[in-house]
Amino acid sequence: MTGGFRSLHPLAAALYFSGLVLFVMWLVHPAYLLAAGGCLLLLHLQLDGGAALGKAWKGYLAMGALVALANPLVSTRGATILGYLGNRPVTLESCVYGLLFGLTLSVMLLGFGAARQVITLDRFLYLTGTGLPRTAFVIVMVLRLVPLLKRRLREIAAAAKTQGRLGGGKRTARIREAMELLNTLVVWTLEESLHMAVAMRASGYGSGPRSTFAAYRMEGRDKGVLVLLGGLALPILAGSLWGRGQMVFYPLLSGLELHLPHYGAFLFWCALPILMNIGETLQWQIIKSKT
Amino acid sequence: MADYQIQNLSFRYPGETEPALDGVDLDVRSGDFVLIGGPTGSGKTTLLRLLKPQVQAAGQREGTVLYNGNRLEDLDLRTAAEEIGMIFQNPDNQIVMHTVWQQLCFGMENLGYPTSLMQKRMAEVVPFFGMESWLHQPVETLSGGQKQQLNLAAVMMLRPKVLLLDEPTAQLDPIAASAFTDLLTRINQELSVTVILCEHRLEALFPRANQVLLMEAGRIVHQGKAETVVRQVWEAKAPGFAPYLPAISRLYLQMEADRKEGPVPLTVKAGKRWFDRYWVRRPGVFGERPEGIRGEAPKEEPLLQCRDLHFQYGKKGPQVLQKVSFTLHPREFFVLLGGNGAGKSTLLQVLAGVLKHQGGKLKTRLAPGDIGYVGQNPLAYFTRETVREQLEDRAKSLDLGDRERMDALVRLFRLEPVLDKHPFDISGGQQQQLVLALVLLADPALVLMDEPTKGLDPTAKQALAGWLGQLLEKGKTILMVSHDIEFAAAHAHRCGLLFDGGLLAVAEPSVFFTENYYYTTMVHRTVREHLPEEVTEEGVLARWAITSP
Repeated sequence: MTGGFRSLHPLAAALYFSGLVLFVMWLVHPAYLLAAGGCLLLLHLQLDGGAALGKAWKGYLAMGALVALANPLVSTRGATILGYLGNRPVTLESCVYGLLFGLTLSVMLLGFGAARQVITLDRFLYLTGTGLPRTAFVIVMVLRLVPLLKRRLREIAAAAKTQGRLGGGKRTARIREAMELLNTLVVWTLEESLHMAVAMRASGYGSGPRSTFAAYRMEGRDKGVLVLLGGLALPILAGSLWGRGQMVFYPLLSGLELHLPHYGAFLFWCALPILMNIGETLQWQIIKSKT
Repeated sequence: MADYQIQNLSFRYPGETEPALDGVDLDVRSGDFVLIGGPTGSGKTTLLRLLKPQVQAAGQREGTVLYNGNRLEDLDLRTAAEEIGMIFQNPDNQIVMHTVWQQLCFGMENLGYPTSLMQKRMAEVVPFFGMESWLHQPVETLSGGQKQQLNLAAVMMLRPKVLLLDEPTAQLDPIAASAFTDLLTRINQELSVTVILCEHRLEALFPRANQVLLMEAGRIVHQGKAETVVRQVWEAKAPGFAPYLPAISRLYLQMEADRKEGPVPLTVKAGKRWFDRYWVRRPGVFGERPEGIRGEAPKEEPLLQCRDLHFQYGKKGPQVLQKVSFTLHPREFFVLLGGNGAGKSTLLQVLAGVLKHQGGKLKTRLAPGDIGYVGQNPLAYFTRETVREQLEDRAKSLDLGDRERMDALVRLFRLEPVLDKHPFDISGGQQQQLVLALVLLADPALVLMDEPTKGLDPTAKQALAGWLGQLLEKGKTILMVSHDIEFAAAHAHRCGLLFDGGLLAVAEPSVFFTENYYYTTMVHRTVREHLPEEVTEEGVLARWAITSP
């Protein structure tokens, strides 16, 4: 799918994901976390059929599990003691907090995974370029340089191998050989970069202030989404400041009160990309059925 | 408008005693296509770079360069960046950005163009160059030809009035090179952009240029229209420049020696027209094909045999080699031809032991140390500060007690004058000779070479052919990967064509190229109706010389 949420202006997409991560970190509450996690899973399915998730889900789960296990072992806070490990108390409160904190982490990773698919390299560079044009320029040059260096290193290694080097032997000899090859790579690259500097000057680099190509235009739909996000962020933030959607863990667990309007606003935030994608698909269905 | 008037221009690099340019006069009119030829170090590049303020080398300059009637020094840098575009030899060194469209914007961003203007220019230039399908690709996925085309497109974004090109096709295969030249001709014809081009491979360019200069030691030696220059070179009996002429023109000038007037054929089309008439006019002038123009490769016990060799990069990578089978005999010179990405270099690296084949059989009676490998880029071999240290280091790692072999190689490749220079500071041809010397220090029985004629001027190419001949005489076997059809036709014992993962049509050149229609030499395309088995100028002349007094 290339339309829908994915085609949103990078600025709106960045705002959306930053908001999501902020809320998830703040609102440590099972209902909120499960809602966010569920929506993100659905979004992953919509974006690439879950291909990226298929590779990464084990890592996400492992990170969450690690934190969930580590917290009760490290933290001894909480009033309800379940038992002792050595002479350290293990409390119910730190177990529950660990569990929810682990869940938070997994959901955040899910969010980053989706963000990486929506905010592609081009979009990321556009975002960086509007605020930090020099940084974005350097990143692009490095991206260009890395495959070039890799190819040169392969050629150097091939030359060395056919000259009977890199064949093993003593450790000190191997290290010396590797250093020599790196030296060749550096000298070679310096040599080529002199040529590149001339070519850059030839195309006017350094003859005045640079501009940056802005590949993305803010359209009506993007502005609408921005207004909507603003309209949702206000009540969510205000409610959160009031303590909505947050559990108290220490010294004693609080209940799982749910303030429905606040929860509803948050749920809408989480589901927005899915709804946009569904809307896009429906629109296509309608266009198709009309023809 | 874009005129150049160059008057008595001389230039000397700092620390050099000889001038790089010596009293050059040249008038270039708007819309001209100027071709500059000459050996490496003749001052072509120096001259070209003096025509654009941003890329002028530091040094001592005399004489004047007028651009549109005003001194070039007075042109402001911004106008110079826009109006005078430059393309260099190595496609990779000119690409700064990561993706194709970023690179297309690079020059415009440098000059601070607004986004709306950049979009308009893109929308115009991208279809002109047919780049739509690879616009969003990262640069490293492009072929060399595509990269050079990208460089040309990026320059065209600024709407230049002059294009300066420094051997732009030297690193490209023949098909990519002619595609690039075609684009350039279109730009010159349709947009009237002035083109000033330095090149070694002049054959395809002679017919397109309306002004040709040949340079030697900083001076313009021959100058004028292509046909005039061809005749001038021939009549001056300047042996240094004869290899620069199209083979067809050389044939004509030798076989029609008494015709002092009339057009000299420069293309296959003109050449064929002339040869057809010549054939009718002088019946029976060509004799039988003489035996053994080139000694046939001896048929001994094979040195190396592969059967159904298979190789692919990674589990999901493309199958580069699928069923490659061939036999290599001792003391033969085998040239492996094939298009870009056909797997020629991969096959060579498998044979050299750099890569390991995944299927099929590779049988050889050679030890790994008996196989020498000359890779495509000499710079990959240099680990020392001077040529001498580099050679000595190699001799030491091979445990060569005496210096006899090393001294012989230094003499053979004429490396004495550069022994104390840094390997990066010597010419491309010398770098290649140094690598050959390094490889031959191990006295390998089989030498594998990856595109050794790339970027060499015709003189250096002839020298290379001479050295390879000496190696063959000493009993070595050579397997070369190349795009250079003319070189293969003139020197190889056998040729093979790698296509779609397999090795097809292995045969000696006279058979191999005779069977081809496109993939053959200019001479063969000219004479094949009458002399179907001749693929080189020497071959045709050998049969002509028999009956002529």
